[in-house]
Amino acid sequence: MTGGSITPETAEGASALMQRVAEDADRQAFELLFRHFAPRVKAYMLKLGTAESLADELAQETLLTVWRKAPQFDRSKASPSTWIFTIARNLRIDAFRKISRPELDPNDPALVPDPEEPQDDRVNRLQRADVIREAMRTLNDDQAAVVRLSFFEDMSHSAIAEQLDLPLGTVKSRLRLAFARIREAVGDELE
Amino acid sequence: MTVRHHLTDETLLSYAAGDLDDATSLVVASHLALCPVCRADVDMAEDIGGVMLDDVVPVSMSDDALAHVLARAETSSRDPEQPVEMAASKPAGGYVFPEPLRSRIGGDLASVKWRRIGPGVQQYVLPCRDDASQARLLRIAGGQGVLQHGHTGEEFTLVLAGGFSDGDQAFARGDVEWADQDIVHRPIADDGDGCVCLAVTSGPLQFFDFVGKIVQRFVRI
Ligand SMILES: [Zn+2]
Repeated sequence: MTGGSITPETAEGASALMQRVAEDADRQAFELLFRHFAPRVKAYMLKLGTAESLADELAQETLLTVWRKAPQFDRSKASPSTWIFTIARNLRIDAFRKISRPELDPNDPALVPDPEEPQDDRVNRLQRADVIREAMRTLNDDQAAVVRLSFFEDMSHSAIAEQLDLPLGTVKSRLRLAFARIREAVGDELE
Repeated sequence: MTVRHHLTDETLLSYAAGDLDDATSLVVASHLALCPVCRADVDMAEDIGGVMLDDVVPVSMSDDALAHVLARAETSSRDPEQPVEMAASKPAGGYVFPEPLRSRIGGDLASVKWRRIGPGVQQYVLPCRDDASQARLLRIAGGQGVLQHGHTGEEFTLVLAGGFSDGDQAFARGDVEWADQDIVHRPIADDGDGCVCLAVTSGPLQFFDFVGKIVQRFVRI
């Protein structure tokens, strides 16, 4: 991969750009990431009902956090899109709040560590996005709808049930089925 | 230690999506610290969020957004790669409370200001940032139990020390028991040291006997 041709469109490309931002504080790499991700984070904020100006501001804040925390990004643990999604999610939840969202601390001595993962599986984290995207296409409309409402409408299970006029148990079982399907696809890929 | 009672997939998915209230997020995150299995599932659910972020139709940023962020990046310090681990702060026996619970309480088990709410039962109500659910620590003496109760919402009980049994099920450190309006139960702490747990409820409990009702009036369980 040569300098000019790296694109944030793929997980590999975005990950290489992240590495340059982390190691060399590379502004050009950051600019590419910004142009790709900021408009998507803004769209995510808007979908969740955030007002236009605040959505813009939260997207800026998200990308500034990407710059600041780039040295902590670990490509063996998450794809850049996933990492940026979690930053955006937490900034939105924590906006105007004194107490921050409860998150585990990976450096907590009380954390029960992961079992040793074979090196191959870790590399696959970047490709996993494609497997998940494919699996999501195989969800039926009902399952896809509850997943979308969970991520993009900030809805609790009971709020989804109300909106779709379904029993709570049905919403839960659709989420469970959707998740099982995706897990199965990811599991197959790692075989 | 292997966790045997996990959180449900739909709860993990909602945590990853950012839909859970504060108290429920606290019990989920505390379980995640003790359970690599559920942690892997949340990782995967967050990947779903990443894919959805990738596939969303982008919305133009304001004209000066990039310049703005670059200017702020210029002056902002960057976080180090490895947060400094303060070995001295780790007690010899290890922490009873994992993060983020420890920070919320402002210390480990020894710093909890317990309040007695019944025979062999003490509680400490945790500060939360919304009131959709309530989080409390419960310390139950060996062989004692919380009075038999039903639920008006959901209840998550995470064991942090010792253990309890409920019917024929046993719960130890890291295990979560989940209950809702269809379940009436009476958890009993294990003999000996009893049990410390984090209980999160989204509605008031329902006690069926006179004593429970009186207790409830005073402690607002
Ligand atoms: Zn678990």
